[in-house]
Amino acid sequence: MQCFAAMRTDVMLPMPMTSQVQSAGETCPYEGEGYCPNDLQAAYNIPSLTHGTGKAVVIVDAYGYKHAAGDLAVYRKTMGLKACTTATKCLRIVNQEGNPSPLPPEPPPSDDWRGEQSLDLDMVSAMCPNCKIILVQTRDNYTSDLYAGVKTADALGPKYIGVSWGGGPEGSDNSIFHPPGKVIAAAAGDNGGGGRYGGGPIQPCTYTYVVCVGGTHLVRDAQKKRGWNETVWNDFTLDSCSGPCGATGSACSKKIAKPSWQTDLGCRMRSAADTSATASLRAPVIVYNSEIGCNPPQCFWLFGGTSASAQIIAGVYAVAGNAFAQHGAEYLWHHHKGHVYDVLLGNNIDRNLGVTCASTVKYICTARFGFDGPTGWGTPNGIGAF
Amino acid sequence: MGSGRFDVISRATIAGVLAIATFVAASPLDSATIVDSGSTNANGYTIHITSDGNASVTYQPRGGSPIGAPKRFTVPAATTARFFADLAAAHKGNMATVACMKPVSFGTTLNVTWQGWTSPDLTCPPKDALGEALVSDVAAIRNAGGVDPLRPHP
Repeated sequence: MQCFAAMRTDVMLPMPMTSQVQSAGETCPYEGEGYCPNDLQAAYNIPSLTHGTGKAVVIVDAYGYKHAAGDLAVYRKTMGLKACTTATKCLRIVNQEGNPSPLPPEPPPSDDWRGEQSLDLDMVSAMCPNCKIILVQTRDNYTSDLYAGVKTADALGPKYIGVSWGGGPEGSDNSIFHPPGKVIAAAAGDNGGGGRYGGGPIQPCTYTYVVCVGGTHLVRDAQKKRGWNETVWNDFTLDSCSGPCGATGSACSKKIAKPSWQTDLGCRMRSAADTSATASLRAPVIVYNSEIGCNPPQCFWLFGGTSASAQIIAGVYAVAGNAFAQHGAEYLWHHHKGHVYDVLLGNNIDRNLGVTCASTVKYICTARFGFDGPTGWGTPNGIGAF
Repeated sequence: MGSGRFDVISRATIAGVLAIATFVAASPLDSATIVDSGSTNANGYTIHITSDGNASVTYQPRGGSPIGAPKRFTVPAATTARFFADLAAAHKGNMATVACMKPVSFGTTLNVTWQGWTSPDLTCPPKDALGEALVSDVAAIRNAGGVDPLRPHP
């Protein structure tokens, strides 16, 4: 318990002084501790401050989160992003029928969907601060209710949908996840390539028309022209899980046929992921959540996972504003050249912890030049691939 | 007269309590283990609880070794009794949960093991009252021990 408390001390960050907060998201009040919007925008070369106006991203999650709007307001103010409130209709929170009330109850204490919602809201804000956001809260985490939430997300109109949930085993393709002219970005999972923790294919990420998003370990690197370096996210191997940890999922699907645009030859079914972004707990993003055990305003947290990378990519798609051309990840597969940072090193297995690869195709779990499972074609370098 | 009656009642009460205490002490303690797997963003925990209300919790990262020494705590007698009764009922009634989706970076699994039986994952919605009772009991036990990997006081 003592060690545990000590560990979490470095996870919860003190509230910065107001004087540290700059306008336009140009600085990070927690430099060196976790990534702020300006870090993420710079690392991925995203024109977040000049694009995204008029676009909206829908986030679908389960259960209620009473302080969602208030917590988002603190995050955006602290990070120097313009306000996005329910009063200005920039932020809408609706139930799975699309109505503003009644919103669902808070999740059971053992089921932390509130942490997920705060991470999702903050990451979309970080990448597309000019976007509107709609948060769809389903009544629980039944698969059928979350899928109904995605259907509602489609019906609400916006063209960009972020999904940071999933599960196995894989089922067959689902038409709810093929809204024409829209983009659904989903998390590839945090359990590595397979084995002990159930990594490998998860739905909805492997559905044909979903953009499946893997995870990387993003660090500053002055030796690189870019100023950053990325490897496959694998905390299992990085420090043998000395604290909360995970590794990006990846897959050669066992159920979903190979999409016509996927040109990799080893995996004869749907390969995943398609693209990726930062996800490591050892290089985390900063999130604000006042509901998970803290005294406001001391409620900044360091989070990671492909839940983060999926919403980062959803935000990048919205900044690009090119939904009508996407057709799942087809556009990305055809236009990645020169518009992504290829991730060349790392894998998502750890034999010591029993994390293996669910596929016999090596590149499904090991990075290489060009396409690979853990990072897809790579991470965004601008918006040209999106 | 009044005092005599009080003495009789008092002696009877004391004898009753002693008899119960002797019975409890003589009975083998039942025990159960509650395991939360932890997630990307939170450590998991393991709670051992016995039918006399004594419990301990240790935290562990996913797949890692326990962090620190076990923290001991006491669960109220009524909660403990209800928990073991609900466990027996859940086991007998083949309690089930419904397949569900997890928040990818916050999702855990939560299982209770008792007398060789392991419950379904309690973070998925229960199918019936048996499951609901068990979920409620586990929440009460967590509260009794101040167990919450995402809500520590630094």
